[in-house]
Amino acid sequence: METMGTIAEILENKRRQLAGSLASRGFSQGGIPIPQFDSAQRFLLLSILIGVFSGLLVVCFHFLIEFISWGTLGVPVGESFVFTLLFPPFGAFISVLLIREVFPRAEGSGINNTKAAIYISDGYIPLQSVLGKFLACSISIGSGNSLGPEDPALQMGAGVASYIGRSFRLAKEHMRLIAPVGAAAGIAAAFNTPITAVLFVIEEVIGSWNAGVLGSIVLSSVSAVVVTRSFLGDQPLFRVPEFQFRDPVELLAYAVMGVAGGLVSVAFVRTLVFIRERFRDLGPWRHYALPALSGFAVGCIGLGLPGIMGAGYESVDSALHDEFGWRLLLLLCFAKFVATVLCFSAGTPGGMFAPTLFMGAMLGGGVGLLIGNIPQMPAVAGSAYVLVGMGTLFAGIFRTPMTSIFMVFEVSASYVIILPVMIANTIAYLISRRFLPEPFFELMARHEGLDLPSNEEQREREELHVEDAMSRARPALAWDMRVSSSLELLRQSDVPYALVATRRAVWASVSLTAVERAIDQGKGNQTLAEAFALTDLPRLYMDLSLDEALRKLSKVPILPIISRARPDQLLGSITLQDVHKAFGIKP
Amino acid sequence: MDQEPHPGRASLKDLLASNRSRAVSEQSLRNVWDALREKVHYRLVDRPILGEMGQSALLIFAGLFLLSSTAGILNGRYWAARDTLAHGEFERARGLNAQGLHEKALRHLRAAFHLEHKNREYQMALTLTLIQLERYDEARIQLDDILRADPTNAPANLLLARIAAARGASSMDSAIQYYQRAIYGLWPDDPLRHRIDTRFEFAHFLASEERMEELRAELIILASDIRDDLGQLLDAGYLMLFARAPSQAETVFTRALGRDPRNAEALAGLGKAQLESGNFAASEQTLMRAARANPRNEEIRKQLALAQEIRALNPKRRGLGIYVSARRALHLVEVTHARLVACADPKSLPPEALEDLAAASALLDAGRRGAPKPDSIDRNIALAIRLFHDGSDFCVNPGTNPAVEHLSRALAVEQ
Repeated sequence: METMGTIAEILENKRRQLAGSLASRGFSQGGIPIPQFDSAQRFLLLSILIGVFSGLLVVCFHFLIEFISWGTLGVPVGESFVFTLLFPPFGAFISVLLIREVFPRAEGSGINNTKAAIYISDGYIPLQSVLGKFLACSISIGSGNSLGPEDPALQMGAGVASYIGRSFRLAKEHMRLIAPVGAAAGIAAAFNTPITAVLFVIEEVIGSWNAGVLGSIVLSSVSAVVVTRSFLGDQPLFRVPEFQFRDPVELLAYAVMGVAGGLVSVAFVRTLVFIRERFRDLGPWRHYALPALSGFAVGCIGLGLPGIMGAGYESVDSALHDEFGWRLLLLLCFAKFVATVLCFSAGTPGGMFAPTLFMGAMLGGGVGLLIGNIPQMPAVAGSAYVLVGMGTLFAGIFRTPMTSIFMVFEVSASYVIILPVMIANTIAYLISRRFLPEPFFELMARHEGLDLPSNEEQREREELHVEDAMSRARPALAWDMRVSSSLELLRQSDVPYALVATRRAVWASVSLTAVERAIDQGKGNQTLAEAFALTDLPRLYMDLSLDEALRKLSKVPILPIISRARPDQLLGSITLQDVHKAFGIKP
Repeated sequence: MDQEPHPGRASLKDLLASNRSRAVSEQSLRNVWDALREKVHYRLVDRPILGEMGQSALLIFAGLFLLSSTAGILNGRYWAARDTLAHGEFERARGLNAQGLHEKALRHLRAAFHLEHKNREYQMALTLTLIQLERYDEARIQLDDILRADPTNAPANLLLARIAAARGASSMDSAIQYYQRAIYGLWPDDPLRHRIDTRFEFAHFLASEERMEELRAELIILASDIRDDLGQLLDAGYLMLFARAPSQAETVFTRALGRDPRNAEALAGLGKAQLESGNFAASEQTLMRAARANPRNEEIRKQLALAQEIRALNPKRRGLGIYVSARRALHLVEVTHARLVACADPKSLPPEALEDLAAASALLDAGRRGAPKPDSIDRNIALAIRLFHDGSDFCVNPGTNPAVEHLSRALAVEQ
């Protein structure tokens, strides 16, 4: 026993020595060496881990949805009358039961939960919500309810990121930004589109091009997509037949498509809000009964149009391959519209991206074929209209114009589509803005009792710049001016300060009080340079924000505004009073 | 970093030591278990062996390992299940297709292909069913997809050629292009047979579109590709006749007769080819053999009658006396003159044709007054040929007289 004890002591001493030596080289003092990084470095490195984790999770999510779908609805979907009718309500009921009784924190939109993590809970998303979304959404979507897996995937990514961030003790400012990093990974894995994921998170979740988080978002998206592709293959979400853009007249057709997409988007969001509000007014029984009833409605529709069940990507693929005529395409669009409004309003777990793409694809295909029947119009491949239609509804409903363009480009792997999509999406986006005062996610956030900042407003908020507040009329004094001469000019000015050009063509300032004091001290005949210690002032430019000016004006009373083209040219000056005036603050 | 002694270590050692000296009781085992739990708790919670962050990292990597293992297992099952489901759907579709239930089969084929969209066999079956149902636009998209992945895929090119051919005149050039790609593309099995079959199909398509030059070019290659298949030789020979390539047709029919010397179709073809080549005597002989081989064949009898009629008209037939030849030459002028007069409006004729008409009238008048002169045979034959050509060139509906037609053509070549 003594020998054993001695060996243990020797080993413990060795371990301590090793730990000490590693600690001196910047490694952990635990047992096994772990490199020590600061929070920012950890944040960047963890992005890859988050991407891998989210990718794996989304892959499993995908598998589970498919297994449930095959097990409940069969292949091809809609083969069994009874299963088609009964499994959607059953799945909806079970998934709501899970969310309400087992994982209550998994309730709500994934995007809004992620935004709430940024703005409300310092990046905290409970791990419970990941598991809840995973199970409940697999069941609801797999059993045929008309919802998509992307929004849950986004929340799963954000939840995983939040957990990893907490585990690695990231600083508060990094914790706030870790959820969007995971969200990007989740959506990239679900769509197999890294660029779209990055753009969507920046456009919708964060709302600005934050350089600090951009690298991490890119890293997590890329690693998530790499993982997903290693399991599910590297082909894009849809197999798109080849087509060409031949005649500029085609753009007219795409413009019409944009109008149609914009109007349907408006109709969809308004109907959804209307029905959701009506459903919310019903009694507590609605929590379980409405999802089951909406599931039953989906089953009834699915008997005739099985393509609308679940995410419906197979039907989108069929539309891309000209399987449907225009009547069927428009009917599918309408059926999906109804089914999605019912499922989403009833509170069945699942996302809105896939139904949006589905409706857009069918609307695009249908309208495109109708346009194609006009003799004067050039013949265009139906798949082009289907793709453009997808983009228009995405732009119209989610109001993320950049994402909508790149999403179509990425899911189709077709560069030719960019120009038509840009035109149609812009029109749909503008129509949606004209007729819908609030974007979709903000409406949903309000329904969920959250008041999250509007990224659209944030993007478009008019920022005040230096040129909006500066004064061009104030006198500037020369360094060799007599102190007594400057007094008169300062008294005439609207502020008790003036800029002074120094010998080195940089700017300093003097105040009226200082000049008066100098004259009292008998320095009236001295030059300004002799009488005062003129110190260089920081410069401002007309295009800078007033925020920047305010920061600098906290230290000095007046600042010069200089031309960027000619640094020696003074364009005007700015004081704190000028800034207040620009913001409408009365003295 | 100082490490305080943990509570579990001493008690565990003591317990282990005491267990050696006395029998293991239930209580002592429970004590060992409690001590172990205490130690594990100490190492994981109170003072983690890896440090708090290290432990979190370990937990996360363990989770990652677990998740990737789960994904790996599910991945294997998922693809296997997809494969099985797709195969099942494909087999159901095959059964339905065999029963002629193409519409129902299509649904299952689509399901199979959605599950296994890299499977070219499923895609090809789906395309064939779409073609059966005359859904050409959709079929074309699938075929384009196949060709995007494999531009040398000959069956896909052939199907595209058929779709383009079915669309009619607007897609002729595409059809020709796809047929050629099918011929020179890669076939999964027996490429020579497929190439010959495709060439035949292409040749028939060109014949239906009356694109003679392309047809002749195609048939020359085809003739060299065909081995000794009698049916193919006959098909090629008749196509050559249609393409107005009688000498090549003769060669092909001769090859066919090498396989079966008494084959009536081959004999008839050869006879027709000889007739077209102006080899009237040989043609008559061959057609007589054909008629003997198949006396009931109306077409052969017609051809034979034509050959005999030509023989009766031919002024250059060997063994004829000079006066008989002269009379036949004049008769030929009479026939071709009558043909031109019957069909042409003299006002629309060019001066050369009018001159020919006048010369023929004068000659015929002179002929009625006396016997034709033997030294005018060639001149009269030349006039008859010109009159024949005038009739063909300037008449809207010159009327058909196959014997004169053949004879004029043959004499023109001879002259």
